[in-house]
Amino acid sequence: MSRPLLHLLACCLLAVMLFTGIMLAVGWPLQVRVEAPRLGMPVIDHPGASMEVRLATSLPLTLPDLQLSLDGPGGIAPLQLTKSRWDGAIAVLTVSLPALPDGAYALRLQTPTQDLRLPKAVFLRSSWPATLRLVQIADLPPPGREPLMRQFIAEMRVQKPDAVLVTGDINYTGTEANIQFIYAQLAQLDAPVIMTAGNHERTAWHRYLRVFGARDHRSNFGPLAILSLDSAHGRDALTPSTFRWLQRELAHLDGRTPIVQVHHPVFSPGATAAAEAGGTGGYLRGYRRAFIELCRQYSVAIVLSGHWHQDAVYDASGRFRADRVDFPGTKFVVTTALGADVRQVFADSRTNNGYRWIEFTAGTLGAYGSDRRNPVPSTALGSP
Amino acid sequence: MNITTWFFLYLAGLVEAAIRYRFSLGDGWSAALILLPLALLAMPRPQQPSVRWLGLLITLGCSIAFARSVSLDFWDTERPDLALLAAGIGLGGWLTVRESGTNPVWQVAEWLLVSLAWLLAVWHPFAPWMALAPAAALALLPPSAAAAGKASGLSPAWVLFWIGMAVSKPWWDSDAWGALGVALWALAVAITCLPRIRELRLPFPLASLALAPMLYAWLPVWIWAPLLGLLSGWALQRSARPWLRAAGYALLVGMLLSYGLHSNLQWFGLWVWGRV
Repeated sequence: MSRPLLHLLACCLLAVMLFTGIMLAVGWPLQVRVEAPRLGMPVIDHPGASMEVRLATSLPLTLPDLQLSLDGPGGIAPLQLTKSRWDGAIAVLTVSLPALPDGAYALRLQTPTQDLRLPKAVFLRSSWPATLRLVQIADLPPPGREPLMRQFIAEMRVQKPDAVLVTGDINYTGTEANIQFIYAQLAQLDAPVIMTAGNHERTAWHRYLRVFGARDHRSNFGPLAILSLDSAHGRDALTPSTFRWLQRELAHLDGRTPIVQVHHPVFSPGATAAAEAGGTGGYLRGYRRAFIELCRQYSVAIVLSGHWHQDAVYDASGRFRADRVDFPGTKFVVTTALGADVRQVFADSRTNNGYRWIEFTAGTLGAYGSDRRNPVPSTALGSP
Repeated sequence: MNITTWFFLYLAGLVEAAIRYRFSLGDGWSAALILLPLALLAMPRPQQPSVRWLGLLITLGCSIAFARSVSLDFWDTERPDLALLAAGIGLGGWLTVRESGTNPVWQVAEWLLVSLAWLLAVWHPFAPWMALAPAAALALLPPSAAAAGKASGLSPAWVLFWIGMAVSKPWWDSDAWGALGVALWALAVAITCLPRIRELRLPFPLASLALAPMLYAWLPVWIWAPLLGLLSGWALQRSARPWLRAAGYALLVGMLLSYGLHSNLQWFGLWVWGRV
């Protein structure tokens, strides 16, 4: 063997040995972090159904001995592993949901060095009502406006929606105290919380990822497939990979009605934009036309957004609709701020702090505004 | 060890982490600490063996401590302790790595290590930073006095500027694509260190034409990354010294400009695709 080649092999060997040693030093003892399910991206299904648990590990392609269980109103039940695979760095474990009473359960994961408990990660439902009532909120209260968040939680504990969709701008100031407050409040809800990120999450992205989870995700919810998209990575746009993910999910709906939540509104406030619009008046830029076409192709019932701190409803042509609730095609709905400052991005709708009810009957969209004739207004906080 | 290789590894890891975890210049002291090693580009490098060994130990210790802290969590770029560890990796590496000639055999090993580290970044986001200490260790091998070829058109500074513009783009969209892209890029650079391929000369205008489409992030990585790697490898082979200050700054400017463009500055012309 020639001398240069020997040198090369020796150098490679040295580098790889050192690199491997450092990787082992970093990864040992083995630890895991639960990516999903968790509050913000829960699993909602019936006993006996399959559920995927996604785990990040400290050492690539290595899992510690672990035990998974559900902990909730029906007691504690171990989860039986039926399948496992690797999706890049993530271990995907398929388990079977045990025969427990309906309700909210914490996912518990125990390893030799960890004991993790994720509340409100799994919701067992053995049957679905004829009409599903969802609540959508966006632009949550920043520090100093906590009473609005508490009021919302109190109203929801009375109103008992089937699920709460949180469409971004959860942690306005990006502080640890604020996101922990929001988490603690949302954890009091009896309903599943399904969340997507807003532009304010990027001010402390590590906190959002740690507390609430991933970017694009899907939650099957009885007859509905709720697709949560991340548009808020700094360019107010869908990225190519997000768009491809959406295409894949829409192609595999399994008979479910798709609904989408994405923080940025799809359409521009246009000529009616008011001076205050500024950054708040931003809208979806990348892939907008293709996104609208996908919604038409797969009959997406409704696209839910926030960001403007003001209510609005558009049809698929971008026309502002305050005339009737049942116009054809996808409804592109913008919902006011739950607790952040309300704004007048454009002149065509009134403004209040509030949330939006969305009703589906047998998978078909019914109401999505507080006024049966005019779908634009949401429900003001304190109005029930 | 060629400091170009090592510094690329450091910068690319920094930009990757910056984009993934929203590093901000507004993070105050933490930002200043993280960016401190970059200022060392302008400083003369120490040559004493004891200082270089000390630097390696600092890099090794800081990279293990840093990666342990963030391996299962996410990098809070505002935390000064983590920023100090990040800066320690950079400072220690700078103390260790020096110009070591242009021995093509060792360069193959260096770039293969870069490629391996970024390939593993698909599984572990901080794998590139964990490769910084082994990369610095390669610098302790005795240097070779092998002569570099005379430049015949390809300008290392310009090519490194384009590298900076291109390599930090994929992270904007997909973490795995970004890491895979850099892995393929480094593999292609390693290939250009092989003796016969080194002899090829490529005129700069042709290289510029080939590089222009790579401004766009979502060209398939398996096309742009190896091509860019070959071009940049050929350019690096042309340089008489392994690390030209101008080339280093060009790389840095390219990366920062690319990062800025993806931080919603929305400059015309660089975000046309997909905006429909």
